[in-house]
Amino acid sequence: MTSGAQVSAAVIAPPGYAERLEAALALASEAADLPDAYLYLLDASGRRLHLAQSRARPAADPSRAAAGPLAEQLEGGAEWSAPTPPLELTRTPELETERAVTTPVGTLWSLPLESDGDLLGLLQVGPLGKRDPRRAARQGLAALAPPLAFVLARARREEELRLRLTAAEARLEGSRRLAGAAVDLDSFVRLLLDLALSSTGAGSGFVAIVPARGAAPQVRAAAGMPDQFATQVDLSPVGGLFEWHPAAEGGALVLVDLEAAARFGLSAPIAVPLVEGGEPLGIFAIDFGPDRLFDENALALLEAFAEQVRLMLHNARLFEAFSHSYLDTVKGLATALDARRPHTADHHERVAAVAVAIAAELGGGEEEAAALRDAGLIHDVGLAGTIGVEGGNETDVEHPTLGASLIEHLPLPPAIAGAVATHHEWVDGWGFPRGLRGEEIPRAGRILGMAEFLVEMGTGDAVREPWPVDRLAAEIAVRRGSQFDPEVADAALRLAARDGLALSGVGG
Amino acid sequence: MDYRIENEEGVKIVRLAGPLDVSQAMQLREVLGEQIDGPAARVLIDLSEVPLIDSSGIGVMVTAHRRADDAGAAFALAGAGATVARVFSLTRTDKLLRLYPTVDAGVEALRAS
Repeated sequence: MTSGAQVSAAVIAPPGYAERLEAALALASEAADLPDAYLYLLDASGRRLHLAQSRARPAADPSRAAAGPLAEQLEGGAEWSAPTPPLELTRTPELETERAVTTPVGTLWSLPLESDGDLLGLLQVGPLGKRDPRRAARQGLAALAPPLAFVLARARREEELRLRLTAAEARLEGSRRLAGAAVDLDSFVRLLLDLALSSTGAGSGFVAIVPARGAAPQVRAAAGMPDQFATQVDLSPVGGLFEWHPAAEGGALVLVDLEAAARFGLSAPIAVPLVEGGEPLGIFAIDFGPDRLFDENALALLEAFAEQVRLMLHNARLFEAFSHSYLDTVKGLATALDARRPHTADHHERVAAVAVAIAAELGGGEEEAAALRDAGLIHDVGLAGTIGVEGGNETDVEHPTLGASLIEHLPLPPAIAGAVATHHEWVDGWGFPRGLRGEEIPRAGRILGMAEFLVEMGTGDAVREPWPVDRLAAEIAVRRGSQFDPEVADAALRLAARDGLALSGVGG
Repeated sequence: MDYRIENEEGVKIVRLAGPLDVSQAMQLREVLGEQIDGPAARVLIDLSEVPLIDSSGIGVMVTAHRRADDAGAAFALAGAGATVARVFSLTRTDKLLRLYPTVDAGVEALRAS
């Protein structure tokens, strides 16, 4: 007789899901003393069962395996006609009782596997020939079914978790390309927290991340915690809920403020420090609640999820550092481009300043200003790839696209690449390179286009005198609604009336 | 949380029984504070009857360890089971505290210190 613990050990031992199912079938085959075994698992609809694993004629009996049948198959092409078990079964009440069933692979003994009273799947062993399995084998199988169902349910849950995690990682990679890392980090942290809670059975938890070296961690995701927790909890390394003890490499994490812990409803929290190279990155904490149902298994899962968060923070930091140094390189390239031609000296710097001024006039926030400054500092960098050293076609229609392509894969605010890509678009659709209209052009692109117009026309070049401020204002008024977004044009006109030529970065 | 204190060759052995979590941490702090009463104190915590410990229980142990250090006393823990030992390693406090596999080993070490 196989005990529950033995079943658990045999099935859970292999790391892979398929190997675990295989181990389950090996046990069933052994218990029934029959060579073939098939496992069907109920799908999410609850109406169909799919063949998850099969085990037919193992090599345990050398007279049947080895060369004999294989050679026959190869010689006679028998593999084409070899019978196969059905891949899918429709759930019927008969399937939920123990009985003999006739299948293309012979008569099999079929018994339902139930977990917590719900049908999990079917175990089928055979072939039976014309008689039912012996009484002892039936008893062995019946005794095996409950622990097997329990262990399979756990293996399946773990597999589902693994798949969700893999899918989340793929989504993270995808959205990082589209949107920038800050947003992804939060959603990924939240997902890992949810997975950690559901897999360990803990009721609540949170993840806090150190925003900058030496700063207190800030709560980035919380689940099941009181509403005021994220805003009120003090996570300072000294004097907060936790203390980072410096004696251990990278700092041990110790809960010291017992009053605060009780106030926030923590019952049995385990807080794992997220550390890298001796530097604290954050805290991953889950609270096992008043029932304190945690064991080594739950702690191992907690550790695995904390490690995932740590890895992600590590990658995010690396990528962020790389992005900023890369952006600096692109800015340097743009500055070098300005220096080549006397009439464009400081062009990028001035466009950036004017764009920031227009954004402020429109009541934009700090983030928009920072994105516009970066976009302004690199907006024409695509020209480096499209013009010859001695001039050439400076209005090359592809330069906005080329410039944006240099940075769009980085985890930077998307407004930067968006503004670079669209700073020559007109709101009436007559701009380039794509002929976008109105709101199709991101606001940062509409502002940057206006800023470039002001700086370019306010500065002279080899063949054109600089335009005075009244002419600039008159041209903006004429192009309001065609080249320029009316709201942006009005902001520029207000600035022109107030600051005169300083607006174009020439005077002032 | 139940506890009893025994004296063995000059070492005070605090035998704790039951889970150590937020609800027990206050009492634990008082008990350990009383035992670390001067530079001569040699205090060993027997964890063999403690099925689990959380971050707050660990916090009390680390605070006691530091108080003992400041007072010139000696403080150690012994007999942690697998789950409790795992929490020490997860919180990285295993590098901070003096942990011994058995009470005997702990007593011997504290007598020598």
